[in-house]
Amino acid sequence: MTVTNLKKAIHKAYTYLVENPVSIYPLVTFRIAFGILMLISTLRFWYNGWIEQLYLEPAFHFKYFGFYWIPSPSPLVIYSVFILLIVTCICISLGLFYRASIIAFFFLFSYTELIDATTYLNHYYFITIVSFVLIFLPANRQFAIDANSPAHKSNLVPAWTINVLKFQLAVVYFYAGLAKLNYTWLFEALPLKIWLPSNVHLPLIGELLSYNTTAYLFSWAGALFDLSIILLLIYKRTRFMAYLALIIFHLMTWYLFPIGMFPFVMIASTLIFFSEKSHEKFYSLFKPAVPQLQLEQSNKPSKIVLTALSVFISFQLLFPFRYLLYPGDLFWTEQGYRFSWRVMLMEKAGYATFTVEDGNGRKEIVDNTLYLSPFQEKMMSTQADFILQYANFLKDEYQQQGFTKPKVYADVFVTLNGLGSKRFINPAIDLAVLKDNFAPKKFILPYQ
Amino acid sequence: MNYKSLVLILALFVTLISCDKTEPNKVDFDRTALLNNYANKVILPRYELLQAKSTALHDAALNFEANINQANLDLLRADFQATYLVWQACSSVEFGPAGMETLKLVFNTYPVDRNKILTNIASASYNLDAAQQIDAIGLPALDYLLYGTNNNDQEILNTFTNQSAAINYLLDLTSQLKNKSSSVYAQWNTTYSNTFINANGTDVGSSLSLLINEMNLDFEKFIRDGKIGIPLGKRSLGNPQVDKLEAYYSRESLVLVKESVQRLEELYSGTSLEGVNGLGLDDYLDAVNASNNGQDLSLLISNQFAAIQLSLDAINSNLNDAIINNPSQVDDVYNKMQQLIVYFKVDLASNLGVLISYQDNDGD
Repeated sequence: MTVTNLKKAIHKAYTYLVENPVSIYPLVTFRIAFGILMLISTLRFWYNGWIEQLYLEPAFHFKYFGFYWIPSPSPLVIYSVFILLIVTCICISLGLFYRASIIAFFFLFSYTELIDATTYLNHYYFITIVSFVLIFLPANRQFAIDANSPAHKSNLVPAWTINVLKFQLAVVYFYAGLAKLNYTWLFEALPLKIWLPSNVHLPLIGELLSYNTTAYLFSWAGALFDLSIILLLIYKRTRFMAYLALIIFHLMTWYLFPIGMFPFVMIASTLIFFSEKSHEKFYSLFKPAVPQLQLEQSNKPSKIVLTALSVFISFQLLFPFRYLLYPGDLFWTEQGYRFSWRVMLMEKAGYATFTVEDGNGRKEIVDNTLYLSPFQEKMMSTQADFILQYANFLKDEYQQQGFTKPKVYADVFVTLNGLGSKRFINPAIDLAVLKDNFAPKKFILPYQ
Repeated sequence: MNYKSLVLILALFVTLISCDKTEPNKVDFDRTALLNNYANKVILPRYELLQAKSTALHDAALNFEANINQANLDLLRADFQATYLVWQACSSVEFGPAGMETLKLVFNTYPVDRNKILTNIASASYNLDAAQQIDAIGLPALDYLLYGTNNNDQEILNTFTNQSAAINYLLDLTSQLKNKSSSVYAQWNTTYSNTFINANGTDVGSSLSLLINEMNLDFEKFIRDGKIGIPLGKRSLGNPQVDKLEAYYSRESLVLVKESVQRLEELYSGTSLEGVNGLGLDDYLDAVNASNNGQDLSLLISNQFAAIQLSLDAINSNLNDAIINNPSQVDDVYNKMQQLIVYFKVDLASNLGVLISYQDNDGD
């Protein structure tokens, strides 16, 4: 192949993936489904009492590195945020004041995520990213109240506006699959060997779940599914079967594990892989005359959009691999673990005891329940950055109580995949003088 | 390659891997039978006994009221101590009816507020069910009235003889204990046993999760901290707080700690009051092959219980004195308990796939 041919091929692919005008309807489906699911998700969160439990009751909140300045909300603030979230979700699905609504949603939702880092879920990270991307997509040009004015109406959008969402979904599944390609998951069937038998009481499949074979089958099938589902959804001949498998897979995880709305978000999001025609057919049920596509002038993205897209794509591809820069076992240290689509990968439990020593060498053991909710304590005791953050907080707290130069020591035991509790943190290191940063955490003991 | 052949190859492969192991291929454990044993053989008899002892205690208080003398005081004290011992068996199962009745708060909140008790008696006007009375009621308040108001038995008897309000307060305390324990027993006996057996999942709110969470909570907060750590000074820069001991006035703390650890072990192992070892958490751990560094977790846990009892047996005075004169011995108890908490909250919980949290939340 000559250089010219190669250039031509690249140009062709670029045009096809980025500039080509395509039907807006898959994007419209995505917008409406996103709005409705976020609405249900927000209401469910409120109904379950999690606003109070996770945001209002704890005396101390864990933060993400770089976001220590995020203020903890007063009841007035957090309830207002949730009311606004509900309003924006409705507006997004209706396509009313879409741009303003999705921008507001992105900031409000991100704020709720930044209040307390122990509430981190990959699913919430996914929603943050998708809502950010949606800010830049013309998802309100059809089947939207905004599209009532003819100037805002359009049947066509540039291909990148749909492909960027497909790309994001592909990253979620494929990286989740890559993360499963490790010895413990594939050849020990852990943690599924622990999790599945605990569901033996369920009707129909309960009995099957108590077999080790089932755990192996689920482990392998889960990895294969994650790695291949996007390709099978893209390829027209396998698409329908793949989507059926996807529904079964997600409903199964929803049935077996406490993972909330995530399965439904994925089931709805992946509808975007269906053809323009299927989407149009669906909308013609409501509005008989979905007009035929007319080729308009292709919508070339601006330089800014192209740059932003490239940065976004590179970030999504590279960031999950940052764990390679850290020494030690990733599942043990969790350095570079978050924001990488590592979903339901390990069973971990810990117990952390903090000792504060005053200037005269006198010691006191901290009652964690004074400062942390049971949920926070559980999350803290297996994650080193939270342990450090809490130790720093204890230093300030005890200083206020009159301790001079308090030293803070943590004795922490953690078990990974039920293999036995082991000491996690060097109990002889004074954590009060350490600050969190991106450098490897030397106070973590190596996994034995 | 079509789907069918793919699935077939996969199935074959998986079978090969899983047959390669020496461990059994199936977790064979009947969780409903476990809950059944817990409800009917372990927990219900504990509440039945608590109700019986509380009733006997109230009767002894009535008997004391009728004839205030040393002999009846001794009888009353004997029933008080018997009730306090039996209470240790109920402290770790504070869910369901007991949770609704806040049985643990009512029975055993200490240290008591002496002034509050004396004010109550002096005013003769109080509502013992009110939240602010929580440190003026229950077994700790009886401990104070029966042992702590004066220096010797004669003066204690005089107090009751001279103050009818004091004897009334005593009766109000014992009657409250009788009523609360009867109510909890009645609920377990009628409907809650079945509710407990039927909630046989592992999610938040399932009986297994309630049992393990409350057992852990009781051991960590009420046994390790309450009975040992706080009096020893673990929360006060090493300065002992002897007056925060359980049964501080009767100086019976050590007996109660031993009893509570013993009953906790029996709870963990599904052992009835008669000593019949039924299906318990230890059997469940064995069924899922739970281990730590190559040793069976159930063995490690039972060894740790034995180590705690040994360290308690090494204390040869009451705890009031041992904390002052022999703190290192009490510290040894604390450290032995600490290790058991790690086995419970980390190893046991992880192996049984139970959500150790008193709070519901999504995972991912």
